[in-house]
Amino acid sequence: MIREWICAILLVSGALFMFVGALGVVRLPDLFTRMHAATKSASFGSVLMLCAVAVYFGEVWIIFETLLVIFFIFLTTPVGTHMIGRVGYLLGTPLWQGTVINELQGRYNMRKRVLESGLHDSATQTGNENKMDNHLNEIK
Amino acid sequence: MINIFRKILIKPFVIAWFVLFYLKELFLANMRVAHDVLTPRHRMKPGIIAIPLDIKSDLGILALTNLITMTPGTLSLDVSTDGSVLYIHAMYIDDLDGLRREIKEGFEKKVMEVFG
Repeated sequence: MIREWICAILLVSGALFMFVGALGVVRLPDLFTRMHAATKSASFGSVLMLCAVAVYFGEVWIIFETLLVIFFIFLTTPVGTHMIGRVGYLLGTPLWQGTVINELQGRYNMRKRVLESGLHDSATQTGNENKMDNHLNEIK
Repeated sequence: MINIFRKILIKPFVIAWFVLFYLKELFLANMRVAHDVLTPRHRMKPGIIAIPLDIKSDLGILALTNLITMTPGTLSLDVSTDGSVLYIHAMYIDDLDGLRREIKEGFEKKVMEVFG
């Protein structure tokens, strides 16, 4: 009886979080904020539902399987989000006008196909290139 | 000898503590996003920020990016080619330095304890 009540609460709250995720995809203003809703709420909703499965059956093997499914959801969802967000940025998807800061601006070097860190390496790299140029000139 | 002892006995507790911390952060993240989705006005201040990394191993960076994606209003977008800076999209930038510190000292330290 208590077990069924716990299951019901877990299932309903899982469904609620999934609904919030779906609503967020419609309501939020740009690609990146939508990804926030789509990733977090959807995976949390499925975790709650899997917990309901584990509580309902209560066998060791099934609990182990649900834990395994949760583990893989947590391993794969962020990778998918990461790829979608990255490709979205590279394709030039506009940011929402309320965006306050963009430190990724101008960091992609399309010619060399690298993402610069902007810490120190760009300076040292140009230094090395200059050295290389001098070296080449000396050889000539 | 002490090293082996430490690995076998202390590591499981560190990992268990890490998992609990992860679940807490996940729950808080969801509450915040749900609140912003369900209330009519958008209170967020989104933006993309760069975070310098101290972790060097690929596995550690993977764990950190996954953790960042699943926690309060932050989403990892890309790692610089030399692996020294992580670019994340954050949803609530009220205090830029505070957010950076929170990620450096909260998440990165914990990930380094487990994978470092």
